[in-house]
Amino acid sequence: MAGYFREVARRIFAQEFRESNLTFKDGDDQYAPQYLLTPTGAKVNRMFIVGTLTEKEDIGTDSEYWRGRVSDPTGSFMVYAGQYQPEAAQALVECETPAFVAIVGKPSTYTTGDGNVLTSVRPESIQVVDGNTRDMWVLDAAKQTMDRLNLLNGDGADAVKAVEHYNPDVEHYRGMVKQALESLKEYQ
Amino acid sequence: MENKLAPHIEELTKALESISINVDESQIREELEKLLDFRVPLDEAKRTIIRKFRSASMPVMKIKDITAVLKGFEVTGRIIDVTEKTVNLRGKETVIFSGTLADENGACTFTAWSDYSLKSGDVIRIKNAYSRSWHNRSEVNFGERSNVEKLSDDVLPSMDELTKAPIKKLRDVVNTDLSVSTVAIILEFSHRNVNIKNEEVTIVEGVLADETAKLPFTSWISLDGLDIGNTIRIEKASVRMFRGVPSLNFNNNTTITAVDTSTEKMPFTFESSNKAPKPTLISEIMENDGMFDVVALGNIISIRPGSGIIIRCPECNRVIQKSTCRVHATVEGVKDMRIKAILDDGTGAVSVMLNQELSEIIYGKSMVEAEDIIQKAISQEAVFEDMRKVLTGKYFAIRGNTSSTKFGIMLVASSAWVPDNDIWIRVNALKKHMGNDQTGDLDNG
Repeated sequence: MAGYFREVARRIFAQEFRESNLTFKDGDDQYAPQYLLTPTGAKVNRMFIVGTLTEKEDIGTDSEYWRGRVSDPTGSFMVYAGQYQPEAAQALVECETPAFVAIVGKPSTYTTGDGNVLTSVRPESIQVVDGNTRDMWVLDAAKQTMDRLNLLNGDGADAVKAVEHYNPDVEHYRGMVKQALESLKEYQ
Repeated sequence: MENKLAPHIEELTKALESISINVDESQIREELEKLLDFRVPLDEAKRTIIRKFRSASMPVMKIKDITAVLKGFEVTGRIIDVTEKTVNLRGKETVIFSGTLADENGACTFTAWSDYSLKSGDVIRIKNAYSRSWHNRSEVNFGERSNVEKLSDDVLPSMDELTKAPIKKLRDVVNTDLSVSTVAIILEFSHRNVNIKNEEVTIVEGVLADETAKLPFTSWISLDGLDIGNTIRIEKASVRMFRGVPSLNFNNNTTITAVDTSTEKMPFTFESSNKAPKPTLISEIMENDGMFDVVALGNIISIRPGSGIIIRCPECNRVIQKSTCRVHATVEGVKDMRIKAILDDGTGAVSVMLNQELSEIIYGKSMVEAEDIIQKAISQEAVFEDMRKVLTGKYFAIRGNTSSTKFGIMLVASSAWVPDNDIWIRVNALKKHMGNDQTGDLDNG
């Protein structure tokens, strides 16, 4: 397809997101979009998360800079919103904790002095949602993680790259999915 | 300088070879040196060269693979028909030749901008042809800068063979079919009067279905005695494209016969073909320029500007600002409500467009209530803001037709609902999918 297309919002669990550290661009044009490749081979430019906002804090010095922690069944996402994400920052200000939130955002990475890569989410929007939407998200993320795991040994470019870089333990991620699905039962 | 460039030239040659373009090394060297002389940084120069040769290479295309707006390709086909036309091209009378070109598995229209004395039946090979979109399908164009060569007659199947209408299931009808034959059931059927060259003509419009798909149809011939629920055998319906969706046109060349389903068994019934289709992955929807009657299931991840209460021109329905229509100047606007949103299922994203009725359903507020919000907040944006709060992140199933736009694929909704959210059925299905050995211990829980 020629011209513009919208980047799809991937569904990834917090644990997998935390264990991701490979960023790259498609092509070497300076305007090429940036991607984060996860251990199961999701090529992420945009992500959709529904989880529980458990903490929020203004960590800015001069201007407001909000940090939120959003938990899912496998861990938590760090979400940072400042003056360039005015709507998301505003939503964080107004939001009570805990609350179910739906977040659309871009992955962002930071390399520490000793070479560790920390991942966080730069939100485009944050909205309060209900518990059912959150459970449906867990199911979707589980399904899509399984779909990626099933393709991991195939010859898709993202899968090949993920295997080469992370050499992921498939059982480890199957376990993660299992744990996430199991957690849904507690609220049945 | 010479030797310093050598590895880069080798790298470029290899890179071009890998996309099957063979260029002489001296040519690459010449280009590279020229760019470097013009102070272009080495990396940028290399990219420029690859782009240049990639666009100069001339792929050989089959007609079915030609998409709109391709440049410089080679194609071979048989002229099915050709007519001469005089057009006014930038103030100059120009003679052009247009008609239909076909190969083994497709046909398209063509326009020749120079006289190649083409005759119906000729087999020609066109080098450096280009394509553009004409009447919603791609058309092969060639002219002064193209090279046209007549080939011997046996390169392609005969005229009769190429113009035969293939028997197809509705799902398989594509934009390179000139005409098709099929058997289908009528789901929708209505008469409409249209004005063609000052003459009132009654046409029939409707929807056909078989077990594979649904497609719209238009009939220019009388369909007396037929109605919704009838199954018909269609021979030689011509195929038109509308917004990327094929539609069947019945004209004087078309034969329609009613099928007696009590004696002839069909793989579909009215009930089976008239229900909402199964959801399609958005990634699959994005692969098609247009699809007729699909269901997409996903989260609304963004409400786009232009949603909410809008004012339309009473004449042309355009959205207007400050009571001024682009075409009809100052008008008394008509209020309307709509939602433009992005629906994303993790495999892809489409824009969806919902009219007033559907907006009220999924937003959960009527237009009157929405106007109240605006009154109270004293802000036109209030409804848009509220819609974002209410809808972002929610799950919806949207049914409608898709078409390709400048900004990607758009799904115009004909209905919308909250999908059945019994997630336990799905959780258990997913666990099965993961394999019993892995999840056996969970199933007891």
